[in-house]
Amino acid sequence: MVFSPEGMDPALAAQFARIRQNFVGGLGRRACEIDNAANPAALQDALHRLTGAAGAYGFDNLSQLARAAMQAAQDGDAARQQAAMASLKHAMVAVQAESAP
Amino acid sequence: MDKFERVMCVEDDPDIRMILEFSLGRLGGYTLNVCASGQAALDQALQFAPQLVLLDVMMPEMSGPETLKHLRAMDAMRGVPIVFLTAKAMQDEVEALLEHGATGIIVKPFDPVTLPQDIRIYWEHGRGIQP
Repeated sequence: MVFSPEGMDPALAAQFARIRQNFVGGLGRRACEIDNAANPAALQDALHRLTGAAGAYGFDNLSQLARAAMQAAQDGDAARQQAAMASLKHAMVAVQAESAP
Repeated sequence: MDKFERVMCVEDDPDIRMILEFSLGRLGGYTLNVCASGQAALDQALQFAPQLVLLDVMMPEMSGPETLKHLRAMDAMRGVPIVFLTAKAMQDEVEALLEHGATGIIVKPFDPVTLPQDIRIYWEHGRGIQP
């Protein structure tokens, strides 16, 4: 699912762009939450919320990577989790860089 | 025939609350009551009288299933469709959520453009049914 504001009323498209930018601006905070998760449940929660939010804002790759990391953490597969987390972090930085003014 | 207007959304993530407001409020034209916790939903449900509740599953303090249980205990909420929002969609998890008395499940990430119509279908088919 990739949400596209094409064909949308310009005022609505502008509003969507603003809230999407707001989401991107919060990625640093989400990265901190993931890094500083006090326990596996907190990590799962942070990844779960990122999975849902990223996809709804049209960042499908980010959503899929967060889901993969969540699944690896749930499975207790440390090697897969580490690889998934590295890919996720990379993608978060890339999204922030692409969206920078 | 009733007009479908009032939707309560219960979601702890601020970014998801924001896109729910955009999707259901701006695009869908519904009157929304957006709550950040299950307790807030319980506090406001009777006054707002939602015609459908969209309820996040994983929330701190009071989970979605626990919130649903308390909502269903209110007489006025018994026949109101309650739809879970979840990023997990394993079949056994879906079945467990439906057993809690949910009308349906919407998997995150959702499409903000089609969500208004998706919930209307749940309202049309689920209203008045007391699980």
